[in-house]
Amino acid sequence: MVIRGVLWFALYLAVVMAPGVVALVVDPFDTPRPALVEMSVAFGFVAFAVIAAQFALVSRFQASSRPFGTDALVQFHQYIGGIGLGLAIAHPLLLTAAGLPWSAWNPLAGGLTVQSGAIALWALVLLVATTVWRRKLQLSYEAWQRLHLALAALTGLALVAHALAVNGYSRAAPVRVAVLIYAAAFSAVTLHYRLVRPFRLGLRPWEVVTNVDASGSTRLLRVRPVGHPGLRFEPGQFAWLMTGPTPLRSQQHPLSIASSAQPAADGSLEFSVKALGDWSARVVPTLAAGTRVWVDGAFGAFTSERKANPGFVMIAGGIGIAPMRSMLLTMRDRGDRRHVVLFVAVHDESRLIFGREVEQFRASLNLDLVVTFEAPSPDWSGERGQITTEMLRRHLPTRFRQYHYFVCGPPAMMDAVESALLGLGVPAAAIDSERFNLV
Amino acid sequence: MRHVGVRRLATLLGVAFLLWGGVFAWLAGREPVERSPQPTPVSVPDGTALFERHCASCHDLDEMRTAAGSKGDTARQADLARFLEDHGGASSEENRQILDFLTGP
Repeated sequence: MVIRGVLWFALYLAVVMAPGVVALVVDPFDTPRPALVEMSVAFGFVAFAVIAAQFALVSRFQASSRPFGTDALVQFHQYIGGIGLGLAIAHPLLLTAAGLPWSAWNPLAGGLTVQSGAIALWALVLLVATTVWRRKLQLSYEAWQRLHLALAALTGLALVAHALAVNGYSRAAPVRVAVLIYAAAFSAVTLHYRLVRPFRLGLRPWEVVTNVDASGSTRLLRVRPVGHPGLRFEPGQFAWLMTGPTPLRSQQHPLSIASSAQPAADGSLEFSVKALGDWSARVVPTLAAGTRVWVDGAFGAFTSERKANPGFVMIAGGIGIAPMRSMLLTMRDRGDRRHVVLFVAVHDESRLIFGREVEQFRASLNLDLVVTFEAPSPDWSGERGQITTEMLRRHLPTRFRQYHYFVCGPPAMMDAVESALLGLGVPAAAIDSERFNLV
Repeated sequence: MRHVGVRRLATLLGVAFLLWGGVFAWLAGREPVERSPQPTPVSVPDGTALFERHCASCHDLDEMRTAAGSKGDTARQADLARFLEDHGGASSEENRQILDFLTGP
């Protein structure tokens, strides 16, 4: 898996560096140009390739997401998107320092070269701004998805027009060919992601079997494949659940699969959905038995599969219990008696999800359960407050450094728990966290 | 802890891209050593063609003509000549022809 990760990263580097390297090799200029202009060109080429590659990073290719985890790929997409924006701004900024008039920043004026460049830049600025401040702008996740795709497509088209129209390095045929190859490749990726994939998913429908209250403002949805065998997954992985008339016109959300990875007789899967937004609070409760849905997955590297550790420590906050439930059910079904310490942190008793079921796991698993409430009822005698170093120390086994750790919950909780674990001497490589705050 | 690694990797890449900008400028700024000798041009392209090749992709003709001023406006033309020398990929002879074109009728 590590080798695969290195190979994918090497491929990524090659993709983002190639246009600049091709330009250098075929350098069509007879005389040297000012360093500022050349540096600007270098940033322009890297920004072009980085932005083009952004389409592939989030196109749900299982082969490339396996070594890293989809959440890590999405985080990389976010960070590198910011860097791409920085380079895209540096490109005209350096040219302006070298004499390009400020009017070139105006997307409504100038020739094709200047105008396409300015349109690409401002579309990219808007794309990043609406992502960073989505909640402040009160954009729903679905509206943001549509806007993000539209702005990404506009940025991509304007970038290609700009790269071809500039009569600089792109006057050399190899550079023009490289630009066109990038445009074709990433258009193909987007078409596959937006059209081919939904079409194929449409041929593999699922239907809701049950939709019950799992307490803590959470619904437990059981879905089963209709006319196909369903999907195989590893405990802890997630899938995109799509609801709506067709996969092309659907609302889709990433959800941890909460059921056992041992295949059910009818191929069914379970998802637990906490009411956190419009879709989860209003649409999910209305999904009656027989409702057609679609499942795209499975994804993610947050899994206990193939881990040979003598035991696991699972730390769940709120709905973060879902992937832990999948791992525990899988261990139960496979007769895996390795030691597990499960920490569950929620605000109060009313928000505990799968509380009774997790209690019952003690009968079939080698499980120590630690539940902590931030605001428990007066008669609660267990742990109180957030998970701290002291609380971990009280409950971790003697050989805790040999265990593998899974952490899933609100970002602030995960940050605090990871710091506490590192402080206790747990190796960073032994800590897996799943971060679902995609935007 | 993958997210920490991701952040570090992205930061490293950002620094690498900045360095690459410098390396690119340095490599592109070197005089070509292996390039085959340029044939002596039998005819020098006129200012219109040179403007199209070297300037038009980023600069509007009217805007440049305004910057150049009229034929006798030597101060503005000296500024523009300096700008052309410091900016773009044309030779000195080509810059002179571009300037003639911009100040011409």
